[in-house]
Formats: sequence, structure tokens, C-alpha cells
Amino acid sequence: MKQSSDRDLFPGALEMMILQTLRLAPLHGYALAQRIKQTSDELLHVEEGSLYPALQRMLKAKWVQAEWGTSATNRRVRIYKITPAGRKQLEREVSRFDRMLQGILKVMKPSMS
Amino acid sequence: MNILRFFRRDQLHQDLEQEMKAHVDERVDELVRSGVALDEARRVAAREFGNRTGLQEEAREVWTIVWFDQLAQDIRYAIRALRRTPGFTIVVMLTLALGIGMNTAIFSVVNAVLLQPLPFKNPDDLAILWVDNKPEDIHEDVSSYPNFEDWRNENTVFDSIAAYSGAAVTLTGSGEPEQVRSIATTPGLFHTLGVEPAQGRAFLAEENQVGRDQVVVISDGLWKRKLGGVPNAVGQSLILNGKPYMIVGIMPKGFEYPERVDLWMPLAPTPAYESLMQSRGSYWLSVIGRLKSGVSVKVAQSEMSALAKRLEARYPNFNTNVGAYIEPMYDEVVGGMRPAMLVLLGAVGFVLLIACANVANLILARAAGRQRELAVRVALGARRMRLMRQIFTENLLVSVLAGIAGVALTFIAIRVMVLLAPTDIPRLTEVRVDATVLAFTTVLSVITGFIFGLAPTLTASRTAPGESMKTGGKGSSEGTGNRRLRSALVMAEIAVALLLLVGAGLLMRSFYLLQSVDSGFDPENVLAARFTIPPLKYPQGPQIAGFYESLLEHTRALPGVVSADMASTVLLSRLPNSAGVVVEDRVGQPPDRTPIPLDSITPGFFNTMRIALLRGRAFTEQDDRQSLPVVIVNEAFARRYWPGQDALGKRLTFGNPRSPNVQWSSVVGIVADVRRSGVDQEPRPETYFPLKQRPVRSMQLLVRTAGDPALLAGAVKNAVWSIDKDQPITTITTMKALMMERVAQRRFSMVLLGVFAAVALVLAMIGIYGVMSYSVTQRLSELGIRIALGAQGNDIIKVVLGEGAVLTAIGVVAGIAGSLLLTRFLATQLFGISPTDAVTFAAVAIAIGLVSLLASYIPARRASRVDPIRVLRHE
Repeated sequence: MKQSSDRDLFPGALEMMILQTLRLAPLHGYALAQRIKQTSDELLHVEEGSLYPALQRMLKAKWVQAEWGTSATNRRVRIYKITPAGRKQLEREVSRFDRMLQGILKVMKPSMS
Repeated sequence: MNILRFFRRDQLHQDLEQEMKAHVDERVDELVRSGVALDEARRVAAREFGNRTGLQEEAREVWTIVWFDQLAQDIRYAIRALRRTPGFTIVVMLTLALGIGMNTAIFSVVNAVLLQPLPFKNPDDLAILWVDNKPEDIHEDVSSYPNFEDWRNENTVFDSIAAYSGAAVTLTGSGEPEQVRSIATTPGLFHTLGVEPAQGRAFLAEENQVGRDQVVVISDGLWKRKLGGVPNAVGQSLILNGKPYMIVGIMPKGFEYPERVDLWMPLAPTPAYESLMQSRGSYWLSVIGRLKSGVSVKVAQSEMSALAKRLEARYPNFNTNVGAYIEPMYDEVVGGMRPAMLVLLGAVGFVLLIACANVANLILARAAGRQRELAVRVALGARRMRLMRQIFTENLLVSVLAGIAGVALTFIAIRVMVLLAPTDIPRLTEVRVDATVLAFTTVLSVITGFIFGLAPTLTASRTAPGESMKTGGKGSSEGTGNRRLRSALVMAEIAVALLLLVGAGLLMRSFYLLQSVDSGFDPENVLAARFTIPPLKYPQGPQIAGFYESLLEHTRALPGVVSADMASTVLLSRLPNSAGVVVEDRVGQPPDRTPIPLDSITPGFFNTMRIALLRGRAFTEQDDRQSLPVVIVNEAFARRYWPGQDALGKRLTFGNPRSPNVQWSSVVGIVADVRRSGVDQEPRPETYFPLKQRPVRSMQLLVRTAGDPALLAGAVKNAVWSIDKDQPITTITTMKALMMERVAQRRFSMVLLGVFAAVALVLAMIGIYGVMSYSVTQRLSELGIRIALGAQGNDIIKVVLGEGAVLTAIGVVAGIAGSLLLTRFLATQLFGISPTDAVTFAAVAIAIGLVSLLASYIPARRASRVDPIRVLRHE
């Protein structure tokens, strides 16, 4: 079941942003969603729920690990934390993204190369 | 680890649900805090979150082991599909279960009887040492004691050898006096076989001496039966033949070597055995040996033959032309059964083939019928591979289920077979459903599942979806290839069913012919009681005669007894008392060594057994010790020794004609031939003597009764015990039962084959019915049109029947061809009838033809009743 929204992120973008956000501090699902929304200045509208499949994928790949805890509002939540492997993955993704971006810019605005 | 997480799936689901719910609740709270109404907040939060169910599934799918999940789904789907068509499912399962079950049952029997090694240590090293008695033309003869000793002392190829012979042992003192099946053996029998007693010990070497020999080893069965299985049986005494014997050992359960033996005793030169053991020319001991490791039977044979030659030179009077024949024990125990077993295995294999063909047909039919459904699913986006896998799983599931049902059926079938089987099928007690057998079944069901899973799925997945939906039929787009395959299957089924029926028919006719051969006497309503009177109590002739007279008097006085007499040779037994005869006319000529049975009878014997007296007279009470020694011979004897002459008045003797005390008996009567050893053998020359002139201790009391002889068994036993309460009766049975036992093995094969043939026929008929029925359904529209155009019901029937007839005819022809080729393997089991007996073939072909037509007729009639309007409207 693929998401089909017109604000589709390219595959891997969501994971990259989650890793980046978690790099600074461990967060639970809701807080993570809020933080991404804030940090992106509302430019990105990610279906909040789509975080969860992504988080499961990342758990499986061992880029994050999770622990049950309590949220600020006293709810039982799972808190996600980046792992060393996750940090490495983040670096790889960032550099890949950079290269891609450079490539696209060159094509779109040749004068800016 | 992923695997672990997989098994904690439920936990995973719960966690995700909880997590997502918490998320949404948080959002709702936040919105409410910022002033939004609760309902509105909920709506917004839900919308912002997204499709919770879909997301949950997506999250879950991250963790699935894909193939397992898909398999589980396939299985669930298969179960649903099968439940939707219960008729198909049940028929297929039953058919396969029957085929697999019967196959496994027979295979278990064959496995235990033929394939498994004998239940001894290293059984391939065990051999039987026969005496090759060329002068008397007996290739497998028993040995004499001195001969055995020489073999034992001078051979270099056997680790150990032992000799044994049947012993007459009467157990008294607890309950009825009982004749216990026993053998007396030289030391080392158990050691040679490699089996230790379960309790106590085997014999010691010194126990084969007089004085030390009053010890016995008993069987587990005897221990349980006569001693109640008490724990300290070893050391207790049994009264055997009037003397106390101490039990020194008890054999393990199931050990009864050589044949249902319950008691083993040491062979010692007691007065009973002393002279026998010294006589080199008296053959009475069975000898077995364990080959030294590395020595083959061939090597042993040549060595023992060389040894026999040396003995020949040493004892020319006794051992001239007497050799040795070494036979592997396995061959002796099992050999005779092999052809029958293989025939059964072949037959049941064929039944399985038919069952598989039927199932294949059903599956193909079903697959054809689902083409439309499959086409739709493909159009909706199902992947072909996945579809194939689903259908394949469905068929595999049915096969596996059928296999399980088949195993259950096997247990029942085995139980029944062991109960009904004749007791002389060797090793039947060892039949069980074991690992080999279960593996066999599993492989069988998986293979059948595979084959049937594959074929239809391949054809099913190949249809282009558009096509089958166009012609709008329940598969009227069925390819001709499919159709031909199914017709071919049915024809094959008919052919195989015919083959089995012919086989069963041949066996049945053979059996019937066997039964109707005149045995020369009338076994109906005759009770036969066998016993042996001990020499201690009845040392001389007069005492023996006295006992018999009392017994006959008592017996004849019983109500319901028409007549009673006695004879020494057991009719229908395999080994009559025999000896070499000398006919007076031929004294000068070389002696005829053929053993001739001699029977001691009471005068009324021929009358009681309804044996025809052809010439001369029967014995009377006056033929006793004081009068002229007389003898009665049968036709075969007269033909052989006095061809073309009148036998009456001729004289013969079983003694040595040169000796001064020789007793010549005169022939006073000639009787009709009697088939003593079973109706499938030629009558042999035989002689009868009056009991008073030749008293014998081992006799058969024959009682002809007015009604059912079995009812008088108790009364006869009491008659015996009223004269001597310690006299054991070896066996008491009706003559009919004895005759049935002789043919028991044949009957068993016949019944089994008959069952298989019947099953095969039923399956084949179901096959035809299925194919014709389906064909009719396919052509409903065509038939409807025909009827609308004026065809009569009969015309339709003719068309459909015609189709069925063609299938049948081809199947029958193929079946006959196959039978002509294959029935030769039955030849050993047949009596009086050729394996290509035309009558049997014709009868079976006609029978199958008729039944097939009937099977086709039912759908044909259905076709003729078709309402054309309804059918056409369906289109």
C-alpha cells in the first residue's frame, strides 16, 4: 500500500528527517511528528501516521531503538533513540541527498554551477 | 531477532495500536486545549493522522516473514475453497485415503514379512544345515545325531551350531493337561540365534547329560498363561511328562523359535532318546548354525560338502551319497511367501494408480470449472504465480489430509488383515506401522499432491483472461488437450480395473476348482481329536489297545455320534508316518526307498470316513495279534507295485526281508485313493494296518456326528478324561476346519485381491460417471439446442452413451492386452486354470462393459431431460 499524496516525499526522505531529528534528542512518536512539523516551518505536511511504519522499518534496520516510557502528559509511549548505526546511516543519506541536490540544481539552473 | 519478533506478533499489534492511539489522543488534547470542540478535535486529529488501519498494516508488514505469511494465507484460502465444494473435497479425500491407506497397509505387511531382517542378532549370518539325502530324493532332510556331532566337531566355517527336534511334552498339575509345543535342543541354540533369555539363563553345557537335564526354558507366553506371569517364576517347577522340571529361564516376549514353541529343554541321552542319538541312520534333528564373520554361504556350502564327502568315506553304510545343503535362514522362513506378497503389492499399487487417476480427473474438472473465476482474478490484478501457488496449495492440502486419513485407515486395515490372515504366513506378528512405512506414506501423499497440484495449475494459469470471459461459460473454453487427458485417464482406469478383476477372477476360479476336487473322503461333520499316549503308563500293546477300546466304547455311546474310529496318520497333515516298503514279488530287486505312509486303523475307519472300498474286505475285530497279518492298500499302491495284476493276496513288509523274524502282511482289500496332504497334490501309494496288529501311540480319534461336530468337542474331551484324567489332547478340531486351514493362504490372497478389484471397479465407475457427467454439463447448451431442434430424449441418450461406450471399449481392449501380459505372474498361485483363461477374461470384460454403460447412462438420462429453454437462457 503506497501512499499517493501530491506532496510525496522521495523514498528515504522521511527516514532521513526522522534520524536527523532524533540525533538531537530521543523522542516519542507524537513529539517527533510535532518537531518535524515545526522545524520544517510547515512546509512539509507529512501524514502523521506514516511516521509509524517508517519507525518500524528503522527499528528492523536497527537505526533506532525504542523503549517504553511516559510522556509529559502521563501517557504510556514508546521513546525512540538513534543508534550509532543510525548515525552512520544518517551521514550516508545526507551525503547522497547532497549529491542528488547538486545534480538537480545543475540541470535546472546551469548558470549556477 | 526478527524470528523472535515474529512470534510475538500479537504483542506487536497491540503495541502499535496503543502507540497510534496515544498519538491521536495527544493531538486531540492539544486541539481541545487550544479551544477546539471535542468532536471537531477528534475529526481533525484523525484526518491528520491518516488511515490508521492501513498504516497499522503497513507497519506490521515490516516484520512479516513474507513467505510464511503468504503460505498461511494460501492455506486459509484453500480451506475456504475446499469447504465451498464439499462434494469434491470428500470424494477426493476418500479416494486418495483409500488408495494410500491400502497401499500402506499392504506395504507394512510386505515390509514385515519380506523386507525386515529376522528378529535375531545378525540374522544374515544364520543358516540351516540340511542333509542332502539323495538316495531318498530329499534335498532338505533333517540330520542324525552322530552326523550332527561330526559336523559340529569338524567344520571350520560356523561359529556355533545347534540341533533340535520336536518333543512330546505334557504339562500336568495345573488345570487341564496340556500338550506344550516343545523342542529338545543341544546346547547353544539361544547363543547361535543371538537371543538371551529375558529372565534367568540359558542352558549350561552340562545340562545335556542325564541327571542334570531336568531343566527347561519357557516362553513369555507360557509364563503368562500357565504361571500367571508371577515375578519369581525362575526356579519354580513344572510337571512335564510326569516328572518335575525346574524353570531356569524365560525367553523375551515374541520369541518362539522355531515355530510357536513354548518350551525348550536340553537334549540328553535319556532312555527315550538314547538309541536315537546313537543311530547314524536315523534322521530327526534340525540343525542351524551361525556363520563365522566374513564367511559366505557359498564358502560354507563347499566346505560342508567336502566334509560330507569325508563322512561318506568313513561310513559307507550310512552316508553314501548323503551330502549337506546350507540354506540361509531367511530363505527358509520367508521364501515361499515372496511371489504372493509381490502380487499383492503390485495389485494394490494399481489400485492407487486408479485412485490417483480419478483424483486427477476430478481436479482437472474443477480447475476447468474455475477458469472464469481465475480469469477475473487475473484481470483484477492477481499475480499469476500467486494464483498458481494458491491452487497448488489447495491440492497439496487435500493430498496431505488424505494421507493422514490414509494412515488411520492403514491401522484399521492392518488390524483386520492380521486377524483374518492364515496363521502360516510367516512373521505376521511382526507387522506394525513403523517409521519406514510412515515415511512411505508421507512421500506418497506428497508426490500425488505434487503431481495433481502441478498439472491443472499449469493449464489454469495459461488461459488468457479475456478469452474465458468471452465465451461466458463455466469453462466451455476448455481446451481439447484437457479433455483428451481426462478421457485418457478414464480409459486407463478401466484398463487397470479390468486387470485386477481378471486377476481376482482367476484366483477365485482356481480356488473353486481346488475345492471341488474329490478328496476321496467325506470331511463333513467329522470331529478329529489327536493325542499321544505316554509309554510309561501304557508300556505294551495290550494296554494301548485297552485304552483305545475304552475310548471308542465311550465315544460311540455319546448322543449325536454316528460312528467313531481311529487312525494313526493325521489326514491332511503334511508328514504321514512313512517307511520303506518291500513287496514280496520284488525281493531280489534293489529296494525301493520311497517312503510309503502306513496307517494303523480301527476296522470301521473306511466306513466312518466314507472312503470307498473297491475290492476285497475291510478289517474286522478278528484281525488281531493271533491271526494272519493283513494289510489294505490303496489304488495308487496297487497300480504302482502290481500293475495289471490282482493285488489281493499279495504280500508286503516294512521290515527287513532277509531277517528271520520278518512279518509279511497279506493284502485283503483295496480302497480308493485319498488325497491326504491336500487336494492340490497327486495321491500317493498308501497302506493301512489293523490297529490291533500294529498298535501306535499317536492316534487321531475321528468321530462322525449327526449334527455340528464342534458341539461334541467337550463331550469327546470328557470321554477321554473319564478314562485317564491326565491324558492331554493335542488338538481337537473339525475336519472342515483342518481343510480350510490348508487352503487358508490361497483364500487370503484371493480375498485380498477380490477386495482390491472391487475397490478398483468402484473407483473406475466413479471416474466414468464423473467424466460423462461433466461432459454433459459442458455441453448443456449444445444439447439444449439439439432438443429444441427436435431431437428426442433417446437420441440424446444414444449420443452420450455412445461417448461412454467408446471410452469403455478402448479401456477394455487396453485392459485385456495388459492382462494377457501380466497375469503370468499369478501362475504360481493358480490351480487347474491357465493365466489366460478365456472364460474369465470374457466374463470380466462383459461385466465391466455393463457397469460402465450403467455409469454413463445416468448422466445420459439427465441430458435427455434437459429443458432447452432454461439452458439457453443461462447463456
